[in-house]
Amino acid sequence: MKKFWLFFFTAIMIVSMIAACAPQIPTPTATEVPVTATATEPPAPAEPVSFHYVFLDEPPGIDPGISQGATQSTIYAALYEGLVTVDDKGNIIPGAAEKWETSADGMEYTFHLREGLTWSDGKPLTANDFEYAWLRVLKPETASTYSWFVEMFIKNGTAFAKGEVPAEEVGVTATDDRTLVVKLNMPAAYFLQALLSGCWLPVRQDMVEANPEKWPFDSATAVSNGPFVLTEYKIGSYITAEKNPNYWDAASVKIDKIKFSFITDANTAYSAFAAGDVDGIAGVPTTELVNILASDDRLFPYDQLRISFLRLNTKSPGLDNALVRRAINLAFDRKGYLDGLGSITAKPILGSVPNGLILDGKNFRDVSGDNGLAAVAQIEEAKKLLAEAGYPDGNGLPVYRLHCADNMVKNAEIVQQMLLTNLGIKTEIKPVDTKLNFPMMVEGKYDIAFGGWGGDYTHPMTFLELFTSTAYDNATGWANAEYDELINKARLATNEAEALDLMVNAEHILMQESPIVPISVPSGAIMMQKYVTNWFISPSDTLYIARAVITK
Amino acid sequence: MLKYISKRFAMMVITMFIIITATFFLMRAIPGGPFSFDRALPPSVEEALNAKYNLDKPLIEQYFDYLLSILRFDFGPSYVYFGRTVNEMIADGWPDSAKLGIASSILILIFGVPLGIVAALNQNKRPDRAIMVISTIGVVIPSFVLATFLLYFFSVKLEILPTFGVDSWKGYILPTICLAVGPICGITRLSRSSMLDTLSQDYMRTAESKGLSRSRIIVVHGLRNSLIPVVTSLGMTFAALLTGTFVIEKIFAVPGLGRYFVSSITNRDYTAVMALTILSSAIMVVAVFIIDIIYMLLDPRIKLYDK
Repeated sequence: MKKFWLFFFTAIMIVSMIAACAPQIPTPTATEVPVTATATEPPAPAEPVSFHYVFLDEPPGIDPGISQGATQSTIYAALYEGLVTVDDKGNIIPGAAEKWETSADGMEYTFHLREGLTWSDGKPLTANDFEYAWLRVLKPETASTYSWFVEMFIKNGTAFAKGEVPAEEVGVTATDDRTLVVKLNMPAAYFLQALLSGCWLPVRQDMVEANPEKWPFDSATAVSNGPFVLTEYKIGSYITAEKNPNYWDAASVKIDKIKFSFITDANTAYSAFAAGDVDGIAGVPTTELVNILASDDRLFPYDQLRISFLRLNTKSPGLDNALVRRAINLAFDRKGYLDGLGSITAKPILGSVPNGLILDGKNFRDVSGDNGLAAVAQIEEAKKLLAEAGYPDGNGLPVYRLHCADNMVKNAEIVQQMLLTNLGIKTEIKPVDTKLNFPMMVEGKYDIAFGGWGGDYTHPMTFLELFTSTAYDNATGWANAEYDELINKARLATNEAEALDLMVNAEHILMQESPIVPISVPSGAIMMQKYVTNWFISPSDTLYIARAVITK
Repeated sequence: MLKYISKRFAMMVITMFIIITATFFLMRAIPGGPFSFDRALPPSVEEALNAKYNLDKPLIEQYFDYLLSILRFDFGPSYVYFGRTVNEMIADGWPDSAKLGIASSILILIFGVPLGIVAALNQNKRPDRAIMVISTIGVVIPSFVLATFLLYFFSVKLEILPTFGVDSWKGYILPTICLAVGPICGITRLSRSSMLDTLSQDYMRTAESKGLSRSRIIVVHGLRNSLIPVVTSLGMTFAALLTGTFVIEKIFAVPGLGRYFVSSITNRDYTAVMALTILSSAIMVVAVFIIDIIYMLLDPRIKLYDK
């Protein structure tokens, strides 16, 4: 019997060792102003030109209809091409569609595909392929994490997903091989920007149906329509692809073979780059960033299409008072916070929309202004508001639970000290498992919590609509009828100037009411060898490598 | 002997059953599911995902479904990596982990025990001192420090070994060394002290007084008896090495099993956690079984079953 207990305890030990392992979060990357590198004409290559790039994470999948993320978007940009694409200045340019028309009310788009488009295996690419791909994303059995995104835009998308209407009534119809008619729910002027997301890319029906789960991993079924076509996917290691001779613009693709490796240790990736084993890496070790920034001109930092903020639970006692929330917003020392973290590339933000989103030719951030906020704390004004709310020097407020992901305790400590010193507000730090952090916020089980949001398309709307009362990701309990109405009107506005005006007003309300305290625009940084030129990172954080030139 | 083996086999099955059950329910008891992301999924999508992966059924039903599929050696689909089964993940990752594990185990065998014996036979002389100093350093240096140093020196400075991956045989050299150094030093120290302990036993003096040759005394009487604690340690080390190690695999970007172990917990990849736990505990249980048999061969006095 003794041996049995030995076995039993061994078993328990193994189980508990596993349960004790610490979690880690991958850092997502994004951008705002295109990072570019331009080049002179290359010499005629004698041998195959290859390009090797390292990601610091392996994506959970590379089915464009299902899996989205910064890493995936770069892979998709190499393998596929949507109706529209983007140039190095961030402008929307024709992709698979050579031109398109918009109806007067902005509710209908007609896309005309280029003549003679084919898939990588030579079969013709038609408008039906797009229709199939979009309907597939909507179908519940596909279980796409981005079906909501297609539903948001496409007429009857939600009804189709619920099985209430047949496919014919969904607002995407291939009227002939080269024409795709798209009917929208709203005259969203940002629809073309939204089309850059992977969920709108065409997929091949026969390949998907032949192997619904694994088609993107197998070179026999991973047929695509972009500059490159997949040749191998080695799980946990790398993806290789080669130039797609059937791509319509193959003449301007100068790379013959491409390899994306997954190296989850940033130090190892950096060593590989430093040793010259790879041509580019998608991130650098945070501890090395300062040194590299100072000494290495192969580093390209960029602002992510993302903001980080504090959520204030508007149902918590004290925080249900807009004056208290505004006081916290005013007293937040954004510069001090970033300095305290040693963050040298992130920038403080004074609104809920990051810098650089252009509407009606104007930068949203410039028009909306600073909302009365500053990069440093405005303690006097904040204290006045707090007293006005009936809590002079924080007296009478409870001790708040300050939730943070378990790798952000240091950030939380800075905020804790800041709230105590500037306003006399006491907090208790609660580190939460990364998988639980967000669900707990949705359930309102917090008082103050760290939050963030990455834009889904390059338009202020993606940063404003999440605080409407019906948005899934609001998670602050804040509901404001006026705000909801402004956002709805802005969605329906056909005129950009009008939309801009409405959204600026909405942001002013949001910042006055302060259910969130905006902190910063996080930054990303990639490294690229000097001999690689003519690549760029789009405003929505995708690395476009297809037309890069390599002159070793 | 046969009775003993069949009894042990039954015990192994029971152990595995307990491990499977405990892991299954512990995993589900950890709050947060595989589909809780840093943004909310619309309820319709979450329902669709739960339906797709059978997570909408009652827990007890999921448990019995799972037990049945394990009997068929089917560990189910990964909840995190779309379109992959856990069997494929293991089939892809294990060979690399196992190669590293076997290579480093061989190094441990070649160096660990002989160095310990050399040290013991030369107690307090120069070879002993040198071996002890080096093995102390080897035991205390964490493998990730050694890994980072070797990577920098051989791959970045000298550029004679690859900086990452195991695409060629050269890629295995550094991770194998990093995995082996700690255990070699540990085994060296263990076999030295075990050998010293044995050398001071009465029966060793008896053997000497009987006029047996020194080499015979050491090999037949000394080695055999001193190996018992060493075998335990070796067995456990080999078993642990076979299923991969997180840190070394991460640093050298080896696409093995080790890194799945940690990431699948973080990601709540239920099926992957279960499969990896079952795999590594099965190896551990088998290792314990083999160790017991070796005990019996080394020392017939050790009773392996109740009379």
